[in-house]
Amino acid sequence: MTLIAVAVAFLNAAAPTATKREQDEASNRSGRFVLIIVGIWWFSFSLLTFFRLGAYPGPSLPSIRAYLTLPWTRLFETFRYIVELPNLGRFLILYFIFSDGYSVIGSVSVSPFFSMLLSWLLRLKVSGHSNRLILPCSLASSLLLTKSACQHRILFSCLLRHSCFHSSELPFLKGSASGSKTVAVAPRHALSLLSSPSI
Amino acid sequence: MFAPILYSNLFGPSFFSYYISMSVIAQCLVFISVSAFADYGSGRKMFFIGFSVIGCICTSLMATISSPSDKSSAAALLILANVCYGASFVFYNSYIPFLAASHEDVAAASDNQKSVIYLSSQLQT
Repeated sequence: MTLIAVAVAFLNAAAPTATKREQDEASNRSGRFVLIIVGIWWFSFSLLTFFRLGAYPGPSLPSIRAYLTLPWTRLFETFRYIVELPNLGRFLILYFIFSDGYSVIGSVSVSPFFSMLLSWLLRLKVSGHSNRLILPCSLASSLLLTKSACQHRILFSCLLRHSCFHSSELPFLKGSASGSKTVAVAPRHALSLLSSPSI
Repeated sequence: MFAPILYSNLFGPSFFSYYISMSVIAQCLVFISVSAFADYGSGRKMFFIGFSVIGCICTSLMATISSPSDKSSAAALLILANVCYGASFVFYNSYIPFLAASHEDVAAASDNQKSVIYLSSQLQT
């Protein structure tokens, strides 16, 4: 999977002599390739579901008209049950609030590894310099966060992230830091491309 | 006063936010209209697989969009893919009673014959 990710990162490149239309097309080549991989992955696992999952059939629908009316009548029946079962009303309201918060946090929060990887990938296009140390730094920070039991791992990962974004202050890390503030916002938008819908 | 519903001048990062919001409105209507079919006929598996496959095909078709002139087809495919993905979640959740039927908490809370036998067997240890 990481090989695919690394390969996708380099699909964006276009020859500098290409026309504007070809450069536009090349710039979203990696995103389009990712969409095809998503389709193949999804389809293969739905094939597995098709062959192995049981059907659990129920009674047949009373009439053709029921295809349109039955789901909505069942919805209003549920609301009528609230009179007898007050916990049901409380559950409906609270689960609405819970699932809203869950999906907002899930879509807005970004792991540091992903954000740094995306900012590295976007910076390749934005600045033209290849900042070769962002990717190892982000890998190192994610490894430190997840695998080690070191108590200072959070401090180390913050130091690494700080050094990557402000690399112009450290002379041995070459790369442009001017685009870092605008690029830090872009990963969230880029992740919204690949994000899941609300549950 | 209000922005038109199909806002065709949109481009850039706000494109996806806007059309994902549109897809959520569509999801709200589609989920209610479709979820009851999980209990009738062979709808549970059929609708599950059907929505999964349609969503999968729509996401794959989004890969054919390479230029800003294809915005409208990108919007339609995005809305459809999101709605089908969410609808497949509805039918995924409809399988929960069958998968959880053998859990001890569920067996303790239900009063059919098998749970009585299971619980009485637990008392002897």
